Amino acid sequence: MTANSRAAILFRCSVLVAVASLYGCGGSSGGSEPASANIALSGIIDIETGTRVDADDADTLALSASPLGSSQLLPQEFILAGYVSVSDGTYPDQNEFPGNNYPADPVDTFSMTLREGQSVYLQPFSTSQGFSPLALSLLSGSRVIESVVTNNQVDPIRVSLPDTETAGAYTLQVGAIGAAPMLYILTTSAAGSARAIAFEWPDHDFVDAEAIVVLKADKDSVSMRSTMPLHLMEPKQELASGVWLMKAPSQMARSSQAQPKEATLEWIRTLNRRPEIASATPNYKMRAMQTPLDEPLYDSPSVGQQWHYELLNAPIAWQIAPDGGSGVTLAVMDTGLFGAPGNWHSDLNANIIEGWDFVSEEFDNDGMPGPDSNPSDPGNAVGSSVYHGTHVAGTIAAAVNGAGGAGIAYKSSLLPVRVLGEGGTGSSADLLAALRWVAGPSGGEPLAEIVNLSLGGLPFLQPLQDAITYGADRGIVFVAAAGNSASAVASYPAAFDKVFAVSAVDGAGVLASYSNYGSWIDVAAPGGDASRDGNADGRSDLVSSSSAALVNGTVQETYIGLQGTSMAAPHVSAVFALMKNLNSALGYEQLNDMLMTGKLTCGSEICLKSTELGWGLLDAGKSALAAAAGTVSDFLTASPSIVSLSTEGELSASVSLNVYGSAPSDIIIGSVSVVAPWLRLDSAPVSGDSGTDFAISVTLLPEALEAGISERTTIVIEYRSDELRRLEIPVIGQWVTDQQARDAGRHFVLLVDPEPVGDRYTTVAQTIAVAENGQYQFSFLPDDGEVPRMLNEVPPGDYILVAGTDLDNDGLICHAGEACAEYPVAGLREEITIRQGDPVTGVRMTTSYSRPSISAATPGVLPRPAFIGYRLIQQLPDTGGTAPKTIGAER
Amino acid sequence: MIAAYRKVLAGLPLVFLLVGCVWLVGCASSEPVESESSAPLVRQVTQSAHCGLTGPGLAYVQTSERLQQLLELPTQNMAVQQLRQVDLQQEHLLFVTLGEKPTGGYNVSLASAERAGKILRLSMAIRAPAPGTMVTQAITSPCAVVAVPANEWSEVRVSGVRDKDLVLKL
Repeated sequence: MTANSRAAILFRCSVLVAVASLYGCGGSSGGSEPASANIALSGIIDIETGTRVDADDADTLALSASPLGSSQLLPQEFILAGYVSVSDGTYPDQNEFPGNNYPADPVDTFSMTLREGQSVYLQPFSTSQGFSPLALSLLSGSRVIESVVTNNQVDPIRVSLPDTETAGAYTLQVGAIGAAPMLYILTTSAAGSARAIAFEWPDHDFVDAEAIVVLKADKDSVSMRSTMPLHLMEPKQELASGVWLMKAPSQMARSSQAQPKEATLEWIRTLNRRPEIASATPNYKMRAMQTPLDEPLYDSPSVGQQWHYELLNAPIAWQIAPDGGSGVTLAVMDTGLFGAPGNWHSDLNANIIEGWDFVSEEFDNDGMPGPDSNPSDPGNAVGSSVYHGTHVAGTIAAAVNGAGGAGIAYKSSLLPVRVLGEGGTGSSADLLAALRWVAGPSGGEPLAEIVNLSLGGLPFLQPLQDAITYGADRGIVFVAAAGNSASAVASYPAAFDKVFAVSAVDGAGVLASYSNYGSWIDVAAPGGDASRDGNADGRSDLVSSSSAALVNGTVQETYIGLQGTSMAAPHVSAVFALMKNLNSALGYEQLNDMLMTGKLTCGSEICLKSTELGWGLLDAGKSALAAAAGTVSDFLTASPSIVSLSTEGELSASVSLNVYGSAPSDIIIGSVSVVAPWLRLDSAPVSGDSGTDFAISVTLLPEALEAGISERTTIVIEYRSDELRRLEIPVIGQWVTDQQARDAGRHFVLLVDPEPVGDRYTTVAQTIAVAENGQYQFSFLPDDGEVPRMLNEVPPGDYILVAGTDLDNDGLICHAGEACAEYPVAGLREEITIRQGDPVTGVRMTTSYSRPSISAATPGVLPRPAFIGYRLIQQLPDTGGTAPKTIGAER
Repeated sequence: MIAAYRKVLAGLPLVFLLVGCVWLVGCASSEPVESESSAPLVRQVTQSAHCGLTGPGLAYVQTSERLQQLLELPTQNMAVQQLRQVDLQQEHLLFVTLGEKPTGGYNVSLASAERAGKILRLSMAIRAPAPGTMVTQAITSPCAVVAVPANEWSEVRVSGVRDKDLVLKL
């Protein structure tokens, strides 16, 4: 479930409690809904934040209007559903129901203000006519800045404002390409990061000498291929019908080696002038941003928060070691990874190298009993698993890619080694085989520089100690979880010689209630503690990282919080990777010397060894400083390293600045600046101030923000130490309301028989509501017995109450791509009883384009298997507030 | 695989032990357990290594609000959809939890059920890692969720989780 839908359900449940007392009582709602003695059922449908609707969707066009000639104005943050179709036509008949008409509306045009680098995402949804590609274009006036075409009906596409363009007013166009009418959802990034579409690609790197080409004409691929201008391009792969990945002719590639990017763009411009080509766009590739601070999970209010990195001082380490552990290989000996080789959890895939599965038959549950080359984690044979190895790997090496979270060594290489099978259990023999393997062949190199062992429970076993000693002598650094028995009894492999044994702390840096302790502990790191809120952020202290969970019957990637020394160990492994990136000569002996001389722990202090934390809580910044080969010049650090302000949270914040370096001395402030009009600098050092500690305070000015928008800016501090330097502190601000402007489109409100016929529900009564002041009001009348019964008259009985749009005019509501509300909560229908003379009023529910069952990773998943939506009644009398739908039979 | 576990099967007749073994290789959602009268009596909806409930015991769910509370626990990782699909008018949900366990390797599942008038008796099969087994070092909170016919019981007794039966008076 996405963060937003979880929050929405929370909200809805609180509404539900309020409604329950009104249910069937006959009292008035106290709201502004129609007050009438002659009412059977009435209520209000609220609309989720930022919701807008295409002004010329098929439902609207079917009523009369012709497609909108001008562009539709959108706020800077929104989620909008829309409809486009090249031509008009008729949907196929379904059972006894004749297909509706669909109107032509080839292009939807929107105007909006874009921030620098801002992205807009489009998620396509097929209608019952099947899939057609959609083109999403970004224009400045009539100049096309970027145009992208959907490859399939699952993957979202996006356009972004390039660095070369300034913030301002731009035009977005959604164009139909193929024959079938299509639905789509368009959304912006910052507020939408936790919504259905959660990718953020700020950069526009593309593959040299390649282009995505959409061919004109609806011919089949064979004849289409014959009309391609093959002297201009070589087909590489057909991505969808009429959409090809093309390579530049080889002579162009040879002649343009000096400037491949410019040559590729020029070639694409040439292609765009060809009559047989509808569009040609670069084959964009994703590129990572700077640091994990930019990741949605780092400061997510509901999915989780990577507080553990702040506690570890990781943001400072990322300044000292900006390569993110690049070039260092870590082996994670664990339960394997969620996914399959080449297609691992999307937050990990970029950093995974080829691994091995050592789990022997006795413990194996991956369908191929015994060791093999595939370290996939199949989950548990029984019940749901936590995907332990995936979680551990994420803390180390999840990539900075604009989605989810990031690992501490976010550019390191991760070698998955599966040694734990069903239920997270395994044998010492398998671990021994894995340890010997990772040490490498006698004449060759070890396969990894660091080995993370988030496992334990073994007794002392000499062969394991020998394998570890051998590996350490070859330069491998071993890190292991101390164990969760709240005991001082030595747990192996952590307690082996030449292994760093890691105990776990909570959000306040205090030993976690479960953590083992003892003289054999070397160092402590964040492992979380669900029973505590040590950092007073209002949430229990769990370590958030990548995982997978069962959604709609299939296991899909997600993020979860866990606690344990298993979570603490990878923090240490990853910091060691950052250190080895700075100084590859560091091995067990060097790291242990640094640890024992206080160079890796406890901030500005030197810790004495304790049985609880060993040599103390690991300090990533101090460790990176110790590893840097030369002197690290003074630089400023900010605490907190990211500031989050909102009208529903903190309105002001104080940030302390401290000098960090090999030998910290005074720095001189050049300037402190804030450019966003919504952020006020209350106090800050002024130009010429010198020292090692400074403070800044800022306040959110919500009236300068557009309601409902999440804005991001930076506080920029320029200062001089050895040279002119610059620190940017990310600030996120939001004024949480756009209540008045929300509109999810004309809603059909249905009372449905709770007993489905087959997998279809029968609609008994129907009415229509249009958004006013950000909500819908509806009411049904009691059946007066006169024939014919009006659509909005309801006989006594039990019903399901649902509402939604019919943007594609197919006579069905609540399928993917449409807004949908169900009483009391979408996905959790409850029956409503209508009794004679006993009106039910004050019913409240919320409509949304998203579904509770659609996770961030799977926007294309339908909410219910075999569920096609609720069917509208297609009768015509224009009474009771019901407008006609045109149906094919009438043509 | 089975040999690696210390089985704790308190008071289970042999016939039900076999049913339990089927689940060891089965999937998360099981077939209904049949009572003596051969009508489906209860069914296990799901089980998880991580239900977020910290104490061993029973949680009985009759309303969607109560279910929502349990699904919002900070450390749960259950098959949420399968639970939400249960019609609480027809069936109530019984969470049987082992409480927090220090490592992986623990699991609880429904072994058998029988009716004795207004009393429902459930037997659970529990697995724990044998001493000296190598296990993951993340805290888990295993549970099984069983759907029982609504409004038929005055008492539910669950054996196998603790030394004494867990008893829920309704």
